[in-house]
Formats: sequence, C-alpha cells, structure tokens
Amino acid sequence: MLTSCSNAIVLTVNGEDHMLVVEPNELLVNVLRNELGLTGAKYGCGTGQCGACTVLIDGQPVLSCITLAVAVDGKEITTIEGIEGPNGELDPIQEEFLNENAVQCGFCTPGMILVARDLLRRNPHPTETEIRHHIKGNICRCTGYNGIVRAIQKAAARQGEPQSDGTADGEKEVSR
Amino acid sequence: MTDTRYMRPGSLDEALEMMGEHWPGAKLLAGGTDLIPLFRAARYSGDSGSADLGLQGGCKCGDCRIEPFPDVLVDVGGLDEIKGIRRSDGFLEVGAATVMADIAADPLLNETVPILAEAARSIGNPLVRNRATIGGNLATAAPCADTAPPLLVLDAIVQLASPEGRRELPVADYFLEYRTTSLRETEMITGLRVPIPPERWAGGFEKVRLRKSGAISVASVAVMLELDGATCLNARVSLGSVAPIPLRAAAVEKALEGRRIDAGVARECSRLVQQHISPIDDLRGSAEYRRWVTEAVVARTILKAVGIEGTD
Repeated sequence: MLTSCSNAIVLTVNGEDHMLVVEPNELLVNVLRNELGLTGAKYGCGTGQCGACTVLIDGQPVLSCITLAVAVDGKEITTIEGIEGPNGELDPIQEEFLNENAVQCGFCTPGMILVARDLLRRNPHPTETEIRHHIKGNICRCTGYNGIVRAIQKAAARQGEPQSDGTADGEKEVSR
Repeated sequence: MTDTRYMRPGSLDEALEMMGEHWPGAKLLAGGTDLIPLFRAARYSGDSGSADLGLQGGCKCGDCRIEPFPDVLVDVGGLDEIKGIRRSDGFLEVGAATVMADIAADPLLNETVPILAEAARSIGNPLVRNRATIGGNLATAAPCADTAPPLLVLDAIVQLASPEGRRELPVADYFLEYRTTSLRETEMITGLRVPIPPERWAGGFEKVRLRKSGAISVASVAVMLELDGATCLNARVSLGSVAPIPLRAAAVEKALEGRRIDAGVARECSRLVQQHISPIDDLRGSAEYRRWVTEAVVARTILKAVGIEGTD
C-alpha cells in the first residue's frame, strides 16, 4: 500500500535492477523474499544472531533481517540465487558443500556459502582457524560444522596453490 | 504500514539540520544492529494489540527499554564525513560511523591502541561487525558497550555536534547513569579522539562471555598502565557490564601506582574493585558471580598489561 511515507528505491539484485516502493520499516529480507521471490535468504532469528538471512551488499556479507530495505537503496545485492555461473553451473563452494555433505536441513546453507565466498575473495587460502572464525556469525544446528569447514577448505584448494603458512592468528580480522 | 519517515542526509550539516527540524521525533540510525531489533520488538510487544511474540526486551541485553520506530529516522550510516581512522598529531581520530570490522582490522589502530581493536573484535559476530558502528556503541549507552572500557582507560574524547555547534567531552563525562548520556537535544556523536599512549604505556582488555561469538559481555575489563620495568607509575582501570554505566575503578588505580606488579600485587589491588561495582542478576550471570569474576579478571588484565600471562 502506497503511503506518504513509502519510499521508491532501486536495488540491483544479482545484477538486475529492481524499482520498488517500500515502507521505511520494511526489512531487506522480506523485500527479497516477498517482493522478488528470492527465498534463498532465510528469516531466522530476526535479531541478527543466527546468520540465516545473510546476503552480500556491495560484496560484503550483511544480515538482511536487521537491515532496512530503504537503507540499501542504490546498492548491489547478491543472494545465493545470484552466484551460479552463466549456464546455471554451481559455484565451486556449492559443489564442495554437496561433496562434503555440508548440508543437512539447509536453512543455514545460503548464508554459509555467501560468507565463505566473501572469505575466499579476501583470503584465498585461509587456515582452518580463519575459516572457523569467519563463519562465527552463521549458526548451523545440524552438521557440527566439520563438513562446512572441509567444504570451504576444498573450495579454497581449487582456487590454486595454498600458502604453506598455517600459523595465522585466527582472531585476526581480514582487512577489507 | 508505518508513519515513520526515512531520511538520508548527504552531509553532516544536512543531518544536523534534519535533527533540529524534526526533534524530538527524530532518531539517528547508523548500522542499526541494536536499533532495528529494538524498534521491531516494540511492534510485537503487545501494545498495539498484535500477538506477543516473546520479543520484549528488544535489545539482546535483556534489560533495555523497548522503543517504537520513531517519526523520523535520519540515517547517518553512509556519511563519509564521519567515517574512517586517521592519525592527527598525537591522536587517533575515529569517525562515529566507522564500523567495528574496520576498527578491528585497521593496522594503525592495532599498532597504537590495540585494546580498542581487541574490544571491537569481541563484539557481536563478523556479520554484525560489518554494520555496527563505534558511534552507535556509545549512543545506545548500554552498560555492556564493549568499546567503552578501552575508551575510558585511553582517556578518549567524544566529539559532538548539533545545529548549535560543536563540542568535545571526555568519554568519562559522557556516561551519566543507566542508558543516560550527556548528549543534548538534537546532538549527535561525530567521532572520537583517542590520545596515542606514549611508549611506556601498556594495556590489556578482557571480556567474560558465555561463548566465543555473538556474546554480550558478562563483565569486561580494560587496563592501561604506565610502566618502568614492572613498576607501575600510573594506572587506569575500567569496567563494563557490572554497573549501570561503564566506569573507571579509581581505588584499584590508586593502589597500583608505585607498586612493582606481580601476581600477588595484582590480586591484592583487584579486590578494591568491589567498591565500584553494583552488578545485577541476569541471563548471563548472577550478581554474585559477576563480583567474583570481575575481581579475578581485573587481576588477570593487569598482569596481561605487564606481560605476565597465565599465572593467576
């Protein structure tokens, strides 16, 4: 419903521009799911604690359940639906999630994969500690995380030669 | 449907103008990691006749006020003017809209005031840190704001601006009482000036939490000591989550000065922390536990600053 408070915004979602009219208090996750039919990002806790709603905004992982849609007007948003190749082929991270059985119920998976993508873009050959540190904002209640960590390691290995340094400080933040 | 109006100023001056024009109905928004859940909790708290979804309490602190969406939201999260970290004379200037991820990773900040970087790293989770700002951490004025203890022992200065002008305030004068600050009507935090400690100063930060990530502190401690070898010339000790506001522990500081620090001295001085704190029982811990753990962690953080670890 259009009100005096509604805002016209443009979101570039997975490379496609969408002109939308949204209420100022509308959450990004609801716009993606209800307006655009992109149900990959999940509404989990609704308070920014579980990571199921993770999307990339200008390449950076953000919690779409505590982000207002109006606040990301003009930004580039990538959801799990947007990471497949030009002919629909899976991203290497997605393939390794399947190979390593890193998916059980699947509710955390879109967020996990997007966060992994962000990590591998900034740090192509992370240590196990760095991987575990980076996925701390994404909660998985099924797998116990080991398959997820292995899948990210395998996907990293596919990117080329890993560095030999296994001593990096896991608590270190990777600069952006 | 909502009556809230969303505004995105293009400059700090414009933001101040909006605040002046729409006060008291206007509220600043930056990362929104605290405010959005808080606003939404109010929507579901039953006051509008809607179902009670059990979200009362809003803020993850568990003891905060519930706030409805305001009439006007002024989004300053994207203002470049109040973003970034730079060195200026003997100070590090940190813009209010600088996100925790940048504070945690900044090489200059890690080199000059590592306890602030460590506190930023301890906040929320990596996704929250991509949005949460240091200005927001102070503006919501939670007793558990993790950047407050390091800023207190670093003698940081809060930079404020309103349509009437600018002013600066020591961070120690910023927190007044529970969730109450020195911020005047229409005033906003624009940044922090953090004095870069001289060579002889060393620090430590410790946060007691129930899990490694996404955890609000049970107690947090920051320490800065001026050392001549192991002798403490000057001491600053501060605490979070154990009183209505983050605060300094003057008695501990005084007791440390002039002492040669070892495990026994640290333990002895840390006992004096009890007179400064008034912890509460909540989901994260009992008041009794907080008293016990604060004393132990003050001692540990003092030793950490001196470079003695794991002996206590």
